[in-house]
Amino acid sequence: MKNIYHNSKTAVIGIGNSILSDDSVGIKAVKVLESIYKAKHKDSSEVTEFIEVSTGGINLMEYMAGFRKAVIIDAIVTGRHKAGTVFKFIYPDIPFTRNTVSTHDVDLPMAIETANYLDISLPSEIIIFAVEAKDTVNFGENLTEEVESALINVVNEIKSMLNF
Amino acid sequence: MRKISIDPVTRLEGHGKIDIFLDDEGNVKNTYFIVPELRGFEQFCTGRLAEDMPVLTNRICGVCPEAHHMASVKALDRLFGVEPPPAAKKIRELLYMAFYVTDHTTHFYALGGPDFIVGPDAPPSERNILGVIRKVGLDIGKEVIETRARNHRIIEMIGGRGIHLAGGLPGGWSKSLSKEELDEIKFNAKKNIDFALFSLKIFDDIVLKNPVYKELILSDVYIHRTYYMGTVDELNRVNFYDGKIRVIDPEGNEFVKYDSADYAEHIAERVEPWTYLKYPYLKNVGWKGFVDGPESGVYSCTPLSRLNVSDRMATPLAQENFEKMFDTLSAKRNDGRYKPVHHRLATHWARLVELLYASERMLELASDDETASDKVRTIPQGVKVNGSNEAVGIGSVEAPRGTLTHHYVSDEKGVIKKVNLIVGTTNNYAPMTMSIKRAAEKLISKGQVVQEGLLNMIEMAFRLYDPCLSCSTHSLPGKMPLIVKIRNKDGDIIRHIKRNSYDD
Repeated sequence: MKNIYHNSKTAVIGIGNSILSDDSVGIKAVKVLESIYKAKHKDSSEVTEFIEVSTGGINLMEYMAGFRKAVIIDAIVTGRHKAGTVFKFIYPDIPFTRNTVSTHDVDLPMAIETANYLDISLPSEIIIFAVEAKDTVNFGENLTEEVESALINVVNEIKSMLNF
Repeated sequence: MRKISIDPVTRLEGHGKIDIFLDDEGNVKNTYFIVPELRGFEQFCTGRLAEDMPVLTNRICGVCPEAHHMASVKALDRLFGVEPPPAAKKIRELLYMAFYVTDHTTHFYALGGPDFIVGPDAPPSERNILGVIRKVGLDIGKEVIETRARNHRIIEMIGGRGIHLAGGLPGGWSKSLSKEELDEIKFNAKKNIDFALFSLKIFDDIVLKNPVYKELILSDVYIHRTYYMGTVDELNRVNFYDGKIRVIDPEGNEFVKYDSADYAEHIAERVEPWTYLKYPYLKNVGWKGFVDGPESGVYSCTPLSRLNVSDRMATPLAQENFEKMFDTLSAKRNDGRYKPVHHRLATHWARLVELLYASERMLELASDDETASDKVRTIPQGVKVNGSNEAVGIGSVEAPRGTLTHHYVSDEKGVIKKVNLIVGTTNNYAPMTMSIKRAAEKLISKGQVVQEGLLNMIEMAFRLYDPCLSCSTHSLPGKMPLIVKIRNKDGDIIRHIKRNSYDD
């Protein structure tokens, strides 16, 4: 398989539905991170890319292909932790967050395994930040209060992790 | 910030919950299929500008944003009372064909393939895309990914963005296509045709030439003699983008053919007390429960349904394969049309015939001089108000999973007052429920349950419909966590079977 590109870049990927309340936390986090990053790196060559994705599985795997490192932000519903709790997972120790599975194909671990088998170059480091969601059934553009507060924590954590 | 190990903490919201109720003898009496629903979409849209709907509705679902975008712009054409120029319609359809190629390819290799190519009796750990690729070969696996990639590029080229495309406007499309762009699309369409033919060959070699699989397709487990629905062009050929909605009865007679604007005269929704799901049925036949036959208003709306309602395919290679499928599984009627195929597992075959059609149609559209015209927009002059000072727009397309209808009502300024959507998968809720029941009946007898087989058969019943519950409910994940509860006549749970569930 030809890898269209292989580079040293980092991908920051927000995944979710931008109009489904707390399910949009990943998308919102990426937008905030991108604006912070772009304000600071106006003229230097950009080494971080910001991507919004709506479905997991093979689709998410394809978006990660070619990057050295991927940081993924998604919502999660464990039902056992307070809304706004932030979890950090490092591949291969990853759970099913809300959107890393796809209704149409497979879950992320299977997509990654498939990519490895097909010799598609994936990031050597995949980190997932998952925010415990409260409302993922009502359409709306706003986060609940708890998740809104968590958004700031996630953004800060990723900012310092990626040094920007 | 906490770091936790993966299980058993996480739990996916919205399992596919299936309750199987047994009768006094311990045989299946009823099966209930339950998924949670999303709420408030209409409220979310009310008060917004109608022209925002194509970019809002394509966010409902991450799997088929293209289908929502197209149904939405078609509804807007009518709301604004504008006819898009021929080039705009062709550009829309061209993009839509690229979408169909990616979607059907993904379904066949990632979801349908495991049932047939790997095999229904293979262990669950092998019944996945990786198992399929191991069986068909590495090169084919690469080609699956490459097919997705080249068609995604085309969607992005025409639609402006890769996800949540933005090209559709009332009265047309936001950009025309250059000769270079069309040449690139033609080049890729030819590759798609080769890939579709190859996929049909795999189906022939691995499935049809295997007596066990062929028997499975022909077995009575997944036969339901329902009505069928699909969109056809003026010559009654399959069309995904535009045409009339044709419904045939279980014998293959045309029951009705209507403009999607009249859907409310033909489709009603049945509400059941045990689920949020609404079950669409044919109003003019009536609801008789989860049963098939000419007296029951249950209809199906799948690739197989679309082929069943059509006289033929509009492209030559797809037509050849259409004939092969019907010659194998059905027979010709006196009027020269084929009788409908009721074997639900043949839906996988029909999906590949559609994959070929989408590829051929893509080449046709990209080669059509009219597609290259730069006249891609009829500028609307405000919404088309009726006597009640409202404007109404109804548009539909064939989503890969069934007819998708968008219905908007706005005020005289084009501000949305009312929204109703019938999403593709919804059409098949009733037949899906019936197929699940059939699978359960096959494996539960006098209280005896074949445990592993039950889940496989139920998964196969689901998968053939290619359900995308993300836009109908957004909650049932693709790995399909299933919880099956078997209850005795008093409603007590006597068996609880789970798969892919963190509750395990």
